Amino acid sequence: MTNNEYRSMYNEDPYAAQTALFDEYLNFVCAIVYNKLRSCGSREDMEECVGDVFSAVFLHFDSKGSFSGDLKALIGTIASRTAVQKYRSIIRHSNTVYIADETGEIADDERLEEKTDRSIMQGTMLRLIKSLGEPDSDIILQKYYYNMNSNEIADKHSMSPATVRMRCSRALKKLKALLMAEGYDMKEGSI
Amino acid sequence: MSSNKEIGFDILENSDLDSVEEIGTDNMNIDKNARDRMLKITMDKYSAASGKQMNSQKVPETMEYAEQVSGTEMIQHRRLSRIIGFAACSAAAVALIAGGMFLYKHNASPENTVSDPAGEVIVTTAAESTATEPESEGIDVNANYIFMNPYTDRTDITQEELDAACMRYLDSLSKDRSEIWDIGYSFNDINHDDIPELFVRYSANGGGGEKMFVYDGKEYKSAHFNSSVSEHETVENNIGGDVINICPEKNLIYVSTEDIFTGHNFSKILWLDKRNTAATAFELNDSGYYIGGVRDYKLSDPNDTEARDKFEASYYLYNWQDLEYTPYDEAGENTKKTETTKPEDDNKSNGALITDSLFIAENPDTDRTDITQEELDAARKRVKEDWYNTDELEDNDMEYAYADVNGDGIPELFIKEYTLSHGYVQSMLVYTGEEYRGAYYYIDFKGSKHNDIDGAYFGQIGGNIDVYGNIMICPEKNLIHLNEGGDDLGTILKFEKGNIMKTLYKYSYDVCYEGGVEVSHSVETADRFQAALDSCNWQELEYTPFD
Repeated sequence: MTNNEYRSMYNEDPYAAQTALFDEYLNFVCAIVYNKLRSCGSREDMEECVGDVFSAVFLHFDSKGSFSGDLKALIGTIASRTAVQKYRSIIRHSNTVYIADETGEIADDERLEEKTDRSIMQGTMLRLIKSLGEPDSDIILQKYYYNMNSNEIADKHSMSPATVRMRCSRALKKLKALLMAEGYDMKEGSI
Repeated sequence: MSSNKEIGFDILENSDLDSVEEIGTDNMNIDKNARDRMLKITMDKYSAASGKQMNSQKVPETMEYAEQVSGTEMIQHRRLSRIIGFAACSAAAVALIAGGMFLYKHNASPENTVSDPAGEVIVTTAAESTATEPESEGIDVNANYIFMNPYTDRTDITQEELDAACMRYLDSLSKDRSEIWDIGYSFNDINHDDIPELFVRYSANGGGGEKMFVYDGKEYKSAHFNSSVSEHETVENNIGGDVINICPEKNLIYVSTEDIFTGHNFSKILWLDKRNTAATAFELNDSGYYIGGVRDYKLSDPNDTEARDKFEASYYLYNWQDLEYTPYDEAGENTKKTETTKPEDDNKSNGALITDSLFIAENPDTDRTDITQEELDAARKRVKEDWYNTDELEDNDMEYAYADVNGDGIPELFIKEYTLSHGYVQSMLVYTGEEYRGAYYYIDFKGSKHNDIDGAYFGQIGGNIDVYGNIMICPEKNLIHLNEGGDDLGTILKFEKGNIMKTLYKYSYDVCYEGGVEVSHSVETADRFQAALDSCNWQELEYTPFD
């Protein structure tokens, strides 16, 4: 959906336009929010945050009369900032210390070295997961990053849960070996 | 101790936008309910911040719609699941929530309208409503959509009598239909006549369901209703399906069934009066959505969700309860029956091994008779060269063994490899006449089959999966014992000449099969599986390192 498409749709039926935009970018926004809140937020926190993001997007349009620049980039930026704010709000009200708070981009700039390390490790992990090829890379991400169960993954890939488990087991083994070759050990607790 | 850095999937958190996209924004599982919840949250927040009154603000947080909906509420955006609860309702339906009545109406003609053909007053509880619609309005149920079930006007019926009638039915069900198991029963007085209706839950091959019965003074009889085939055609159906919910305060029963092949949902909300007369208040099927037998929305496109949304809206108007079942087998009432009518089960309990199965996988085979051990060794070496992860394994991580499980003179090849996640895992391969290929067995996908209590069978869907896990063999009986780890408790396969693989037993936390027939988890089935295991002399394979 482009800015013009949204505007003309909005002029006819604001709710229809907002719903269409919501549906088009829901996965994108959810993925960003999940990425920030995965370790500290509940499902309710994430849904609340997604609501904040889209509400902010709609208000942005109302105030400007249009979306300036690339719509997806704008939504991504709003989602990212809103999720970080939500993250801060959650940890302020929590007694738990989250590792990400110490090492992530939310941490202060003094931790530049850690941040760089983390960025390299992220890149390595993603590259190696992608090297597993489809559908194993998706299955691994769905299982271990998105915490989906075998039935849910099976539905997405038109496989049986047993096949998903088997592929997952083999792909994980392969990923561990790949990581080892790059000088990493898979953290047991994260599996 | 390894000097490597530790890494986990949490490293992917807090990524930049490019990485988030690389992880895959479509990989998440966002179902319709979650989507609807988030849209509602969005609209509520937007309305609050912008000052623009959005209709979603009027939707109550709780599901107690009947107490909160007024007849004057205007709902514009039916895509929200909760909102459509009102948008989908015609004025008549709103009046129903308001505490109106069902009116039985012949041919929808006012002069033929009667309040109740059975002579009972048919009124929902008006006192519960705060709505402003006049109480005289209600859903007109066309006479074609009213079914007079058997009933009794006896007043001397005791619970003991009903219990006995229930057990007579369940005994006969279990006796006559050996493929039905995991039976449970539940008494609930839906129509407040002081004679509880009987609900029976059961499992069948890969499926199961729930069904309702009414008492006729002597026995519990299958309850029926009239269902829409099209706008002008009805068919008599029993009150049963995949799921039954009840709403006793409104005398309502919800029944839902999904056709696994077409994906069509067949659901209805039925109203039961004191004489067991069932009126079809709301119905969803493959021809559309009906209110009181009148089609409110015609379904022309299979992808059109409007009919389903409208029905869902009606469903959410009521406070539904799941049925709570008492297990029939645990009731202790049928012990004698089990002993006398299930000799087959007794045989199984005595350790008799099932030797045949409905689940058969035909693996590649050869009828060549000139195969030499040298040829097999060469094929075995090629297996290693082509192994999917040879590069990541040290030589001593991969070993092989030959064993002729099916007695055809051509040994099967077994590979043992070391896996980082599960330690040693074994694979079985069969010889095709040219090379060794991975062997597989057939298993059905639970939940993809359906078999209802009346025996209607809608087929099955299944697939082949690799023989991969911890393997033991019993060549004298052509058997393979496979354990895949995780949820799997064990599989017994029969491998016959021609490389025919039969799945005799499959036990996992997900699903259990005996001879290709799904069975429930129970002490009895576990005993039978153990007895089958104990009846064989299982051998560990003796592996040799690759050259």
